[in-house]
Amino acid sequence: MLDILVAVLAITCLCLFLKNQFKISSGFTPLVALSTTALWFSVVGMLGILWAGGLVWYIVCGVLGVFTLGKHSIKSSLANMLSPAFLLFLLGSILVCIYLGIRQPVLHEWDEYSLWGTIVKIMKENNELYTTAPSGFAWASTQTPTLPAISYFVQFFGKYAEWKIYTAYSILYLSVISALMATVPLRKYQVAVPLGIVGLLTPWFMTVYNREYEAKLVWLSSYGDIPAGMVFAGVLVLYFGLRTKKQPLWPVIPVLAALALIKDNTFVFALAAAGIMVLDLLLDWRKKKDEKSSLPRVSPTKKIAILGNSAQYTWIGRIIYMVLFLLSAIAPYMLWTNCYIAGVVAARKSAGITDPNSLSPFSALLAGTKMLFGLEEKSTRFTEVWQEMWKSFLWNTTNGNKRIGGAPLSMLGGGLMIVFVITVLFVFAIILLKNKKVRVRIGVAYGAMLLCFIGYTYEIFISYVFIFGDGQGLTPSYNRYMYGYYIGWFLLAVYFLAQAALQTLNPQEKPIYAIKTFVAQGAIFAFAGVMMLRTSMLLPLYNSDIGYTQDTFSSQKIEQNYADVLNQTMNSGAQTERIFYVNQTDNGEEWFLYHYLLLPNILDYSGIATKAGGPGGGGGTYTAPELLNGEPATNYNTYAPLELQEYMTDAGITYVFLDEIDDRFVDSYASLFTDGLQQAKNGATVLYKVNGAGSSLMLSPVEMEVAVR
Amino acid sequence: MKKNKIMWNRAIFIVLYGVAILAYFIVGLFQWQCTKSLQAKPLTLEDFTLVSSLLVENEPNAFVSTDPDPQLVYTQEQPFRVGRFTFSATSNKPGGEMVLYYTQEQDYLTSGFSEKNKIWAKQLPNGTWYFDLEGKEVTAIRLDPDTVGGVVWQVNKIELNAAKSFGAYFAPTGISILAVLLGPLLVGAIVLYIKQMVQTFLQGKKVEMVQSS
Repeated sequence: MLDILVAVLAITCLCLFLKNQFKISSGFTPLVALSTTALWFSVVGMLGILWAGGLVWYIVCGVLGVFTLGKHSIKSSLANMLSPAFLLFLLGSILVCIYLGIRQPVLHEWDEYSLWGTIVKIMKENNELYTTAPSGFAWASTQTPTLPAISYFVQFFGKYAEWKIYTAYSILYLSVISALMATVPLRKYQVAVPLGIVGLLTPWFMTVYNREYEAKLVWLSSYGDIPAGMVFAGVLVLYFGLRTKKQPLWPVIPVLAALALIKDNTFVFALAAAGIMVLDLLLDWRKKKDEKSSLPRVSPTKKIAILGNSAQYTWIGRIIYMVLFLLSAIAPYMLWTNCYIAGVVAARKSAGITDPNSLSPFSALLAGTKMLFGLEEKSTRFTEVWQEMWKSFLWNTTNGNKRIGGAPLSMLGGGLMIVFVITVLFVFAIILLKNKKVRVRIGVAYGAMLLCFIGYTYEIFISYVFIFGDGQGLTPSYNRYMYGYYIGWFLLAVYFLAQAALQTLNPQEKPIYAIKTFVAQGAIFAFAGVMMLRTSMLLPLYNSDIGYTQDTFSSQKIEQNYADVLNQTMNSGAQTERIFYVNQTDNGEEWFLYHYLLLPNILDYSGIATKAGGPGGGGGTYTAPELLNGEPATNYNTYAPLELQEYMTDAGITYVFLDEIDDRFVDSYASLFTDGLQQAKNGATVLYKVNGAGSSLMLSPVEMEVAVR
Repeated sequence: MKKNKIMWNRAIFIVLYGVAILAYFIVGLFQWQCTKSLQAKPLTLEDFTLVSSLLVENEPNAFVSTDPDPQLVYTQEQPFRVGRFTFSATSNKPGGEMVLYYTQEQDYLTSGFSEKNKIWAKQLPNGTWYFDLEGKEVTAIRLDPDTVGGVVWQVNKIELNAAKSFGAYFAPTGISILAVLLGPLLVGAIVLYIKQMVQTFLQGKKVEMVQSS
């Protein structure tokens, strides 16, 4: 727990520095600080100096904190920092850290084992970026690094723990909500509270759609979809907030870059955000004399630091910002994929490892667009997915009734309902704001978000048609691909409504303006109330992240204990064991589970991934080719005993883990085992040690102290 | 004028937090009042109807679940009130999840137990599982002891309306902590909102009156 509190302290130091030096509102600083941290750790990871670079970062944060407190008195620094937004971030982060440190939730979902949680564990165990660190994956880990970088950062000084990953994600969400509230001063408390409630409830509100009778963990998940949506919202409210407060715009750049590197398909979010910002900068093209005079006066030495502040009002400044925004959305992802990952894959190739190929997103996009415009004939899958996606967006067909609104996705309902409510919020914001120019900007922002929504949906459509296989269904994981965008759009709408609620009351003005402000404040209260009501109806506290019962992780704890027993039995302490996995009925899930649980010992892919015939080359299911008896090899990979011996020698296998064997396995390979697999069949052991090499490789049973499960 | 405003606002919050803490204790007292008249009633396995589970032969107070959905159903002739239901037992292997369902329907044999009326087990320091129904009137309760199947349960004690220490009525739960900490913040915000609206309206009236005079 202490390591996370140190991380929060480091972030706070960085926030203090950002606020004092660059005069941006304190509520914006956590998101900027976290994004910069994520980028730093990603870069030093790519350069191969992850641990050293991490230490340097902590030292730099500490130094900057001390420096800025020395320069500006402690009292005034703290007074400036304590906005409702920053208080929410700081207290929230500490509370989450303490709560999760006590309850210690663990990984519990499919992709957490196959990707999100495992890459963090690999990073932490090796202090090396997961792309090059040793693991049992038979492919290069190409996942973009923002989220694992933050997860690694918060537990830098401590031991690896799964709940620390969840704490990292929660701190990220809190920084986004802080950015949402950043434009609200302490004296406008009646706007800060409902706005904070809306922000905090959003992850549940936009992802839960049914009454939940079992534990439904939303904040406690390491999937990247909600973070992508939240940071999408975060970068937009950051940009518009900075413009509203006439503060420098460069803090947007690190956040855009970090957003682009959260997930492959949310790179599009970053592009959309950059596009919206470019459009907004184009809007007030001519500088106004009165705007320039309302800028804070600065001493000449500070001019460079906040050069960005006045830059947004000059045409050359705007062009520079437009270019920078587009670059920071595009360049990081391009650099990662085309330079760094390409290098990693090339290095693996020269070491003799061939990675399985997949269709590049751009060729998929090209093929799909050709079909869309009739240049190529539409494939069956194209038409089916097209219809399915329209149906999911427009119609709710649960319980046999067909109602308009879209397939249930959030507490508001389905796609159409969500877009409708967001539109209503935007319309409210536009009507209730008195400044005409701001109204136009909001209208343009809405139009741009709508266009980008269509573009994003199209990108998902292309993925479904060309990248996902037929066996995975027409629209797999539809909800979590879509709700990221809805989260971003929704929070932007709420932000604009909050701006209407924050309009100053001037007794000299016509009363209609005061009424508009109060209506806006009331609207936020009302919406917060709706969210609280819906959330309590669908998600009782004892099934949620806050109050889940002790039983929730009982099966995961049993699995962890079993893996610990295996590790202890094998552990010579001197080396990392490499384990060959056998499970004749696995579909892949058990392999990913044990691969994760047995780290730092490595569960080998256990076969050649590109082997022809069979389900996937290895990963657990085997038979000697002659025993296939003419069956199609869809369930078993065919290896002759000698092939297995040679594989194990080449791969450096030290143990074999027989999770589940069947008669076919016994008949095929008993000759390789010194006891003919007797002990495994009796349930006396599941581990066999490797002795010898090549054609004289034999496996001897390992005595296990604890009864096999 | 401004100092007055700050003091006013602080006063509002102090009052609200005071009210919240008071409400917390009043709710605890109310629950104590509801359940103190209930008599503790020890039960044996014979009082239950066993579904997907069997009594173990030659062993008193032991049963085994025969599939992953074992159920122990208890009912009385008339609807009855339940405070804290306790289940003290040991099992030969981990059982997974333990839940208690209750129903207030007369015809529960046909309508069954709804997922809406489900309570998850909590454990006392001595290992006894308990479920707090807080004096609800029910027609039947159903204990699902495990979700694994093949678990042999050795029962020590089952009690309806087990004694609950006075202090336990005031034990903090997730929702009560949230309500006490965050409720006053929200109510305070609403109060400030209304206050500012009223003040602005009155100020506007004053300006109007000045302008019209």
